[in-house]
Parts: sequence; C-alpha cells; structure tokens
Amino acid sequence: MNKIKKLNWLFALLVLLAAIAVPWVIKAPYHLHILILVMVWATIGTAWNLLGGYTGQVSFGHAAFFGVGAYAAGLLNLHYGLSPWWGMALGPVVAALAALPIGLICFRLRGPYFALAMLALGEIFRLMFTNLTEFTNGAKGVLIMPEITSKMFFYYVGLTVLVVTLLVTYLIVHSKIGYYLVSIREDQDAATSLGIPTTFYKNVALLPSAFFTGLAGAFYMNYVAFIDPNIVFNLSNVSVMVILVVMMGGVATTWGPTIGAGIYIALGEYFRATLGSANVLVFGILVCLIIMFMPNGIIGGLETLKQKFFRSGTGLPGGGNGEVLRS
Amino acid sequence: MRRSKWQLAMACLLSVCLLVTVTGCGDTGTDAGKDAIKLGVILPLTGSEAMFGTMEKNAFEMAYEELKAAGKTTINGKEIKLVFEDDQGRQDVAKSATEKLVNQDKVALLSGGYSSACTNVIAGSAQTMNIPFVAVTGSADDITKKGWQWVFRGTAAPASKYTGALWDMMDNVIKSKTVAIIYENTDFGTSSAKGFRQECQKRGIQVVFDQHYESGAIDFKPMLANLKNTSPDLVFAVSYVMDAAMIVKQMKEIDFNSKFFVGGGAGYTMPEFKENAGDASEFVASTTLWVPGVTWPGAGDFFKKYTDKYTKEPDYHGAQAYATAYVLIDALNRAGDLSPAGIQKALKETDLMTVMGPIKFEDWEGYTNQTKPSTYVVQWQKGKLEVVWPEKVKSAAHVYPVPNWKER
Repeated sequence: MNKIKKLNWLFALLVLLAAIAVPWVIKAPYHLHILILVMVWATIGTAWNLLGGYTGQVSFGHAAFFGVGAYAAGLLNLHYGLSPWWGMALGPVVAALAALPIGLICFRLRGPYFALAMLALGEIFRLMFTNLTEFTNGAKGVLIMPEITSKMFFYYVGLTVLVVTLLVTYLIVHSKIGYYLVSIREDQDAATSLGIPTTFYKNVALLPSAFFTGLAGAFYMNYVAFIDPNIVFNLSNVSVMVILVVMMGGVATTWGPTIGAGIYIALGEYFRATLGSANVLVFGILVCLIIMFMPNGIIGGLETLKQKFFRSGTGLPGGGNGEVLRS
Repeated sequence: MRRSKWQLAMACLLSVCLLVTVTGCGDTGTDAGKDAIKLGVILPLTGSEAMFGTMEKNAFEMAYEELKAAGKTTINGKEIKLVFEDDQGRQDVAKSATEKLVNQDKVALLSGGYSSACTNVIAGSAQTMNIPFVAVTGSADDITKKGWQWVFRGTAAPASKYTGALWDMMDNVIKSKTVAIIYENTDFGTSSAKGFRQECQKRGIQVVFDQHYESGAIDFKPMLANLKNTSPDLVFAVSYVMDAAMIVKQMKEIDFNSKFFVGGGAGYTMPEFKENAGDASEFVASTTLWVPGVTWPGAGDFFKKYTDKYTKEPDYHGAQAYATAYVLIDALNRAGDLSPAGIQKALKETDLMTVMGPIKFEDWEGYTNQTKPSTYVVQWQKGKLEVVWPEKVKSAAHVYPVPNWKER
C-alpha cells in the first residue's frame, strides 16, 4: 500500500515537471491558449468533483460561483480601478460566502433539493447581474484591458491554480474527512448512525468547491478580459459543461477532471478548427458514445481495461490505492 | 459476458480514437501556405446565431469571387485567401478562434464578429496582438469607444446611432408626445434603448413605459398589457427574430394600438420576421442600416445576385459582410507593405463607395475608426419592406398613423 502511494506521488511529480516544461517546448501561443483553457476547466472540474463526485451532492449551478469570482475581478477594476488580479484573492472568498447560505439550508434536506437549489442559484445570479445595471454594467458586460499579455505568464498562473486545487482536494479526500464524504454519498443513514454530522461535512465539501470555482472564475476574467452575465452564469456552457468534463474524465477520481477537461477542450477545439459547421454535431455524438460505453469516464474505462488485461497476471483484484473511494 | 466484451471492444476503440485525435491536434496549421495573404473571418456558423453568420459568410464568398474575377485578389503574385472560423456565438470560442488565426494561420488581418460580446473579445485580442480588426456587425457602442487603434468599424453603426433617420422622421412627420421603449436585455438592446432614451430627453418627449425582457422570452402579454394602459403614441422595440414576431402577434391578440410601431433594426427587417408574424407584420416599421432599394451603387445588384445564388433574400447583415469584403481587399491592394502596421495605415486611409454607402474610418464624438452611418426607416407594406425615410430615397409613402387592428 505504501509503495503504491509513493509511486503515485512520484507520478504526480513527474506530471508536474512535464507541465512546467511544456511552455519551453511548445512555444506556439495558440497551443498555450488551449492549455490555459484546459487548466481553467480542470480547476472547475476538480472543484466540482469534490462535491459532486466524492460527496455525491450534484450541483447544477457551479456557474454561480464561477461568475461571482469572475465579476469580483471585473468589478474591482471597473469601480475602484484596482488591478483585476486582486480578484484572485477576493473572488474565491465571495464565491464561498455565496455558497454558505445555500449549503446551510439545503444540506439539511435529502434528495434533489440541493441540485434544484443550485440550478436556481445560477439562474438567480444571472438575472441579478443582468439587471443590477448600475453595479454590474448589466448585459453590456465588463471589459478590461489586460496589462500582461504573455501567454507563458498566464500558463504558469493557471498551472499554479490547478496544482493548488488538485493538492487541496487530494488532501481533503485522503484524510479522515474524505472517508466521511464518501460515506455520506454511499449511505447517509449509515453515516449518521456512525455519528458523522452529515450536514456539516456536506458544507465542508461545498466551501472549498465554491472557493476554487471562484478562483478559476477570477483567473478566467483576467485571461479572457471580457465577461457578461450570459457568459459566466450560463447554464449549459458552464454549469452543465463542468459536469460533462468530470463525467468524461472520471467521477470521483483525482485525475479524472483534468483529463476530462484536456480531452473536452482540446478535442472540441480540434473539431471546430477542422470540421466546419458539423463540428458541434460530431462532438456531441462522440460525447454520447463515451458516456454510453465508458460510464466511469476515461479513467474508469482505463481501469477496467487494466483489470481485464492483467486479471490473471497480478494479484490485485480490487485495484490499488484509492479504489475504496470510488463506487 | 458477451456484453462486457462488446463494451471492452468499444472502450478500446474509443481510447484509440481519442489518442489519435488528441495527438493529431499538434499538427494543425503547420501546412499553412506561405505564399498566401490570409484574411481571417470569425462568424457564428453554428448555434443560435448561425442564421446571420451563414448569410455573412455567403456574402463574403460572393464578394471574393467578384473581386477575383476583377483580378484584385492577387498582390505581387501572392493570393488573398479567406479563412473562416466558427465562434459558435460563444466568446471563449471567439477568443480561441482569434488566437488560432493570428498565431497559427498568421493572418494579415481579422474581420467578422456578429454578436457584440464576441466582437468585444475579438477586438480586445486584436488590439493586444497588434493585428488590424474590421468589425462587420457587432454594434455595441464601446467597441469603437475605447480608443483602440487596431479596431475598425465601417459597416455597422454604434447601436445608439441606429436611429438617425428615425429621429429625422420624428421631427418632421410623427411628432410623438409620448413613447414607450421595450427591448431585449442584451448588449445591443440596452445600448439602443439608451441612445433612444437620451434623444427623447433632448426633445422633451415623455417616456411613459420603459421595460426590458429576457432574451428567449415567449410570453409578452403581461408586459404588453401594462404597455397598453399607458397608451403611448409610439412604441420603440429592440428585438431579434423570434421575439419580434411574437411581440407583434401578441399585440394584435390583445388589440393594442399605437400610432406607430418601430423596431430598432436586427429582427424587424428579417424575411423570417414576416414569415413568422404573418399579417401582424403589416405596417410595422423599423430602423435599418441597409435596404435592397437603397440608392448606393451596386446595392440592387448585390440583392439580386445573392438571391439568385443562394435562393434566399439577404438583409442588411449580408450587405455589411459584402461591403466589408470590398473594404478589406481594397485596403490590402493599397497597402504599401503587408505588415500589420502597413495594413492599419491603409485601412485608416480608406475612402470607398460600397453597397452600404461611403466607408471612411474617422474619429468623432469619442469614437475611433468609426464610419458615420447612414440609416433608414423602413415599413412593411403588403408583405414588402419599403423605405419610407429619408424622403429622397424612399420607395413608398409612409403610412402614419397606422390603422387600428380592427379597421384593417
């Protein structure tokens, strides 16, 4: 067990070193741009995964946190003339504050209430930010002029955001709290009977999830430099897309959201650049196929393959480390 | 067991597919022809705005073929090529498309941009990367109000200036005392409404009703019922296609009459508006930037050629793209050197007569590189869109005040 754990950390370290080396190998700004978008989505996916994957509290409204984070950065610049980079500090905090009341109220209930409340929250924020024109500029959106344009800089900031998110999520999931969260997902009654305060621990999962989604939002604002409510609070292009990203990569896995984001963004962009008007259709069909035939995502699919091929060879029937955490 | 084998096989196949496509990603753009001058055009070719994007793409291609026949598309042995990119009506995709065109395809200049949100993002990226960008349709005021030297807008008026001809007509014919404003809550809608509101204040016209609605709304009756109670002389509405048709249909259903109903461009001039609204479209007026019957040279020919070629009528969006293509290729032909700065200089010196009227990129009233727009008031009469204002270019007399629904 310990050996496998060490191997995993080694693997993570290698991936990190490779990621740090990437901008020195791939110098094309277009490819870096795609990698930056991948990291934004990987961050949101990882954050969503903590709540939706490990704890089993599916959120249809992560756009609310994403948008609040983005607007925190944009409005600081619009109203106070501060650098939007301060939004990287403010955005996540505001997002977590926005999450708090929803969690406190909805997590006392079971079933679809939280999912529905989050769905509503995303839409409420979209309407609020559209209509509070004095404060948010309404549908006109917020446009900033970025001071830094170097892609390499954004790449490393994005990478840092993603690495921190992955690390914190990993540490939470692999601590005692992680087992509480998974037990809530698997059987809430059993968890309660063991003395786990389920409402509290659901909030423990929600707050970092909202926090890192807000962080990704603030970074997105700094990078793309223009937002309006229909973009950042979008139901299908943010809230549902993050679920697809996680589903595609592998729900409740450490690397799943990152791999999902990589494939989703890179493949989507590749199709868009090569297939002309049919791109959305082809992409949609592919996503359907993946979800149909690899219901556990890419990571889950690979795991199944590994097990099938090496079934007789190795003596590890249940898989290795972390397998307990997946359903 | 059989099922799991099948699943396994599919999983294998999909993994291989994915690997191939992902690794293939790195190769795109390396086969770029070095002897071509590339002209990048970003338009929504899929998604909810595809109807407009496709029309503009067709118009671009038609203009290109004409210019090719005239021998204008080859400069010093280098051929000009159009490279289209789909932005799906999403601004992060528009950003990706801009990055790809500038960094991979190495385009000489950028054009396109339908929605204001996408145009904003393309303009911002073009400005930071120092590549000239000529906007086609995106008309939010801000786009040319930032002092961005690399951003040009020739064929589209700033949204708050769409109503020039309408105000001329108001002062001379309509002379309303009370008006109502309804608009879609988008960048374009709010900009247009703001411009209209300011003009009202200037003239001391009372705005008795001023409300926006969500894009994608389908039930306008509660809003229209309130509107009816204020009985304004004139209604000014800014909408896209489906909502425009539904608003006039529901106005007829609740029997709301005003002396004049005028749309602020976009939806109210589209052929689809007439198809969807049926006879409720009769006498609805709209401001517009272009009509087939306009007196600018080549406008009628463009309309006829487009209709023959694509068996669909173009509206002002098509004309914008067509005129933009002429402006771009004219500038490329005049440019001393084909560096971004050389093309920027040539664009700045543009003085070209197009189907949209004369195009000149000027700095005025806080705008940068913005053509002074020509606007018109049109009115649906017997299922045809007739120009009713300005007086010198009109194709039919205006009907004002319009008859009540019951008297038709």
